[in-house]
Amino acid sequence: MIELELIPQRAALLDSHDNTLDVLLVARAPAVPATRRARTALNLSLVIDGSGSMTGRPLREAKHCAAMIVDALAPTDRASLVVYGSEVDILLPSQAVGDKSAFRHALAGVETRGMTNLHGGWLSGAEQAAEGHSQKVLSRVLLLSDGVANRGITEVPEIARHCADMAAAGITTSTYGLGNSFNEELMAEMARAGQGNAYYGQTADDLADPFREELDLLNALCGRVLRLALAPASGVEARVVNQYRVDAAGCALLPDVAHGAEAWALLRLTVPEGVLAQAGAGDIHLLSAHLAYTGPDGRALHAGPVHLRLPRVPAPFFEAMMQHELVLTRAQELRVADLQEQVRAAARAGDWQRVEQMLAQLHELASTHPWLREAVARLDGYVRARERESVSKEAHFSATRLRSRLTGSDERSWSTIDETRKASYLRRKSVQGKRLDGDPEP
Amino acid sequence: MYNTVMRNLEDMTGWTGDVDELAQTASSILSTRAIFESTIEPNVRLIRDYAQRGILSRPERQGKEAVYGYRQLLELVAARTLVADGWPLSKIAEQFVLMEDPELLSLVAGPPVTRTPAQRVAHRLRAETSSLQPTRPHFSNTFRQRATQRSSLQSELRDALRKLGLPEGAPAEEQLTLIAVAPWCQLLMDSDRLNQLTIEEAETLGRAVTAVLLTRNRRK
Repeated sequence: MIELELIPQRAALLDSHDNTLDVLLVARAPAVPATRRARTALNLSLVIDGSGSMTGRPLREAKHCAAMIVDALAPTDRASLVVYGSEVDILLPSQAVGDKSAFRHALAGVETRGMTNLHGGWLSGAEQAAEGHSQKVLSRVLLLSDGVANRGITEVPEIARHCADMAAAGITTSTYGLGNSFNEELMAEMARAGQGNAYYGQTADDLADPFREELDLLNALCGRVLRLALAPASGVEARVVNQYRVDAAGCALLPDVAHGAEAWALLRLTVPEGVLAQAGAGDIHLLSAHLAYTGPDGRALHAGPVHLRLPRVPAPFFEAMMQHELVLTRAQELRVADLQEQVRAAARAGDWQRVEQMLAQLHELASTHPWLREAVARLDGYVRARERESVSKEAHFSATRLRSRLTGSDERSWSTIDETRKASYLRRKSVQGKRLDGDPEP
Repeated sequence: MYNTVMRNLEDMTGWTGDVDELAQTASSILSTRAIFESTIEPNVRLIRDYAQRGILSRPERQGKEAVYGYRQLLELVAARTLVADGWPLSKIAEQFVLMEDPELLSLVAGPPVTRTPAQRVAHRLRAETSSLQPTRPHFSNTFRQRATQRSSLQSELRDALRKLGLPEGAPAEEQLTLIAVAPWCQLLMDSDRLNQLTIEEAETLGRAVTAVLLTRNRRK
């Protein structure tokens, strides 16, 4: 079902030289099939931060989002509801979503209390999801927090390791940060390690978009647990630039892919001159790639292997060759992501001079890319206002999104109106923490 | 093993025994619950204490011997399970009297032993963090939910009775003794008062009943 393609930056290698080239690997899912099959059954655990800071509108909106999720589930799906403050309460253990009134009733009774045992809440959610898990279902913890973990386990690496362990066992984690006080590094790392998605909303009004996006994605899944195995030729080095996690077997873990969308990885190949010299006549084999994934019905499927072979050409021919626009665009996006992380680090350190230096580089790098140009302009606004937390969160989530987003088949132009016509999980927002209708027109 | 415990309890509906056997059987069941480290194993003294507190219902009597049954076994195992999780005895006693056997049995159910890979990982992570986790186990949440529901109902009942003018907000309870003087004539008397009745009072009562009946006949 998923098709694999390798797209090199240039269609040849420069003869008698070391070569470094970018290769875009695309895992392309077919459009929604005409005869619509049932989607993958879902087994979700909703974990809501009920600490004191959530009192009032934040909790009301969180309940609203949770109710939205439950309302969209089928009777054959499973769900559980966990609330955490200083202590953790399992309001509804994992069960089939036959009677949604039980969930609504449980949600209505959620009240705020105490501090933030985020890990405890997540773990209880993971346990509940484990109760209903099988190979045929997609199991996920959806964790919402507006704060900093200050009870139980609080260290990011340890919590992330736990998320990774559960993801390896089939229980993935998506996170939803709310406001300006939550730990974005923790939430993003939990989602990355947990093979889910990280979202945030600057205000309670912005929270519904991420939940809707996650729901739309889950309803349109074509493949999950995508494991990319690369086999570079002898002497060739291949590195995945996206910073995807790697499993024990050395496979890069790509995001789940929905129908009509593409998951991708930018590969950076280093081909020493010696490899060219030792190769015989004809095209040079550089790389093979293979993708293993789980289909909607839980079956183990494969795409590929696909192979990259390129001829070697002398310098004049090499310089005249066109570079593939899509490969250049993805490389540009990943460089923007790297710079955004540097902006974040400088902002957190209070080094606004460095922030503005980085920002100037960002403006230049993004100048030819309409979407990124707008995103950098919005980030600039937070920088000018010296809003450290806004800069930190927006830069971090934007970088995360750039590295791991699903792409559509046609992204040559960008406007808010165009984006609203796309599936929610394909929309390119200029501010990750705002709902899409908050974007200005270009 | 926990499923075995559950199945064994379900199969023990006909169980009976004396107080020593009750203690031994409950200990045997609780010892399989590895996650609970009860500081006190059920013993005769504990059983008598629980009976006095109302946690254990009254056993049957065969002569002078007390014969405990399935209900008391359930109550004892469930009570020790809840105590291990920090529930006070007074709360347990208050709720147990309102719970049927299936409800008590559901409190005793623990996590399945045959674990899927996902459950094994979750169990390992829980064990790693066990000293920090304040999560109440599922059965304890179930007990809390039911106790909350019952407390709400009891509160409504007290309010309703108060509105009816009962001073303590609780229904008045009296023990009455029915004496069938004849198949068509029955006397209802306060049991405590009956136990204190003197011969003179009995004679006065008899004359009063006679007078009432004769007066009634004259009116006809």
